[in-house]
Amino acid sequence: MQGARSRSWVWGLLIGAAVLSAGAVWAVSASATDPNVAVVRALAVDTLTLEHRMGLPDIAGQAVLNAADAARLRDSAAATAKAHYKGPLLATRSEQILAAVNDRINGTSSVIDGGAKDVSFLDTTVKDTSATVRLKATTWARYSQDGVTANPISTDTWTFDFEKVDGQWYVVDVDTDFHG
Amino acid sequence: MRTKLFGLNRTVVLTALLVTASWFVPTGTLAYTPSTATTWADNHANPGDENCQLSVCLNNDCAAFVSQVLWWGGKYQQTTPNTTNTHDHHFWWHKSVGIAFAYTDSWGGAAALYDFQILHGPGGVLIAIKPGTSTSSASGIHEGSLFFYDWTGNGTIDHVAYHAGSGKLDPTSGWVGDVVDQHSTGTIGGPHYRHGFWSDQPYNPNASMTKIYLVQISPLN
Repeated sequence: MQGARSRSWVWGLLIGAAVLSAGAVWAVSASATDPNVAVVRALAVDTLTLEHRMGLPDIAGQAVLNAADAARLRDSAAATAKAHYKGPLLATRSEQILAAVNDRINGTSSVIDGGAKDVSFLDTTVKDTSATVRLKATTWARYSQDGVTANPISTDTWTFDFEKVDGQWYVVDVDTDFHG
Repeated sequence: MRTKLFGLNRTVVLTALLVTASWFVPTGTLAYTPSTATTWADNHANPGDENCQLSVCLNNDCAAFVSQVLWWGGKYQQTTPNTTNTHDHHFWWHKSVGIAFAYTDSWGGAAALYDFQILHGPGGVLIAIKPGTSTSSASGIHEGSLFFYDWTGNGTIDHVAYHAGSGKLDPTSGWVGDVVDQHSTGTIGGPHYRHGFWSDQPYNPNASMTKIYLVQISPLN
């Protein structure tokens, strides 16, 4: 009697585990097939790259710009920010991207080049009109002060928070795991 | 009948004038002294030179290092200590409790230390917010001040460093200008060093999105 009770308890545990496993597989499949997952992941990587190049074309070339090119570049900078961000971060990034463009136009930029590489996704969650992407990436840059260059590189975990507005996903927060 | 100045009680006016004046003239031996703070910071910034028995040493101990620079080196006055940890950012202290320590969030956390500087009087004053791509000097701020870094520009303070002088060489990057002493265990700006370039740009690949808050500390502390 005691043995039968133990066996039924074990079977119950196994069935429960199987149900939970099936649920987990279903959940993973569901998120993996959600088209929003691919969209926000691509936007996260695009945004991370943008934040290291600040919308500057041919950034490594450092070509001298004429007035028409400068105006076009400023317009492009504003449009790029609006296409990527919403909320308070839109104001911050608009200011930063425009400052980078103006530094480039004025020939006072210390930024020579930059970007992100070796991206791996850690978590992606999408729920209604909000989403979060956590990824690991190596970011790098090349700067110069009075002809002395610096080449910082860092591998960190990044968290991008998104909101969906009128069917379009926008970044509303960017954070790293490095605090200290 | 008491004399009135501008319609105010004379004592009130004179007190206000004295407090204002004392912002610019350090008063007595208890006043915060940047020169001695810098000496302490220079001597304890590099690996192996830490002096953790003075306080808690955390993994990401940028704020604990700066707190020790202010207090141990510069004689910045702590608020009245307690025996249990406190999360109220109006206070800044640490205290030995048996073999352990009690401390405030502001002692070991960069964001809380920024809050304390702004909330507490005399504390500090936010002079300017500069971009992380700044290669010129940190104009308007002097030795003994603090730099607070928001790495991603999202409004959250992530890091703090101590202003250790102007017109100096950062021996690691070769950049010249205002320099900081700081502790960091992250790959950005670290792991530890003395005389890093103030904007941290030579070490920060994310400088284009970084914001730096320049806080001048009152000598009244």
